[in-house]
Amino acid sequence: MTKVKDSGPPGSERHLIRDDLDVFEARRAVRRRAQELGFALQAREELVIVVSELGSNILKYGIKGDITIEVVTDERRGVGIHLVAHDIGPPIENLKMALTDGYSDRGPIDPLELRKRKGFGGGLGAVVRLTDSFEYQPGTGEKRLSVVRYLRKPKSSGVR
Amino acid sequence: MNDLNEAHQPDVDGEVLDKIADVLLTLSEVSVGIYRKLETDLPASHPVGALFQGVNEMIDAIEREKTLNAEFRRELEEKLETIERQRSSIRELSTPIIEIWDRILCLPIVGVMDTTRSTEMTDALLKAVVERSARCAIIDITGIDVMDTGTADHFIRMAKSVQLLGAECILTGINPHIARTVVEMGVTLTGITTHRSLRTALQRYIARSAR
Repeated sequence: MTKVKDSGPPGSERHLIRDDLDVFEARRAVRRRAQELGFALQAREELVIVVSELGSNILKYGIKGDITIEVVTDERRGVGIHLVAHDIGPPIENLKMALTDGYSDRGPIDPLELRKRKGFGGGLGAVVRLTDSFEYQPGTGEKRLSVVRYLRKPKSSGVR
Repeated sequence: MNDLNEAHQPDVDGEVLDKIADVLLTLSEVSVGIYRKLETDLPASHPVGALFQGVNEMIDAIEREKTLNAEFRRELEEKLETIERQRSSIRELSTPIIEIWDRILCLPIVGVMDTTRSTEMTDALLKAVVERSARCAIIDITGIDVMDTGTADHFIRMAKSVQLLGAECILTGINPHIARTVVEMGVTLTGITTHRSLRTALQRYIARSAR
């Protein structure tokens, strides 16, 4: 029962996501990595939320999956944390809708219905808002969500 | 003296001595984890044959025990690992709802507020408001460092639901970052009182109720 496998290039950690405990573990790991890189408290906690949302989506819809955490450097943006959520669940049918808060796979969610679910379908919206780049990579029998959050904000007014 | 020597000389076959040496060697190997069994042409009816068979059976038994032991130890380690992970996670999960005064509920929240947790929390709070006929719910978010706008939106809806249920909702412990997030959303918190700390909120509420 290995928790973490260094299966990628050095400095990358792959966390299997089998249950809630694994998600908490991945959250702790990203908090740790972000701290090592010098992310401020708020940015660290935002990354934790991103991992939490990615992780709970794997548990809810992904059947089986994992989250990889690694450090990347972009020549323009500088250093950042790259997260890849990988699972073998069904592809995201309507990406635009999935990214809009208050929506699930079947259209706008009735508020009463929202309360019965374990999440209100807003998870991916948060993932996009709290990261600097988002990429959805569908495959055969699997999919990946790849996001990056850079340490430094762009020089412009910062409104995304 | 010769008589004595002769009397104490063991009358043992040299070959049997060899066999006993084999047994002793094998047993000493067992003690360091090497389970090599004895080989002999002698039948089990022969005393030495019987000895060898006995020793071999013993070696089998010891080896079986050792394998079982290793399995148990592995299982135990896995269980201890799970306990440790669970302990860390419990800290992240708990959202206690405390009735701190007559029909005044307090919800101190610490940690990460993601969509799953905010939904579960809303369910728990609204249920508690109804079940305990609460007149006020004080939600303290001092322990939350950041909140996504989607989650903040959900939070505000929760506060409004509490009001619809006939109770007052007070938010305390909003930090500057979260305050900016809420303002960014462009939403107004009409009807929802906010205070800097849980203590101030309680003092004000109790004083107001006393009048």
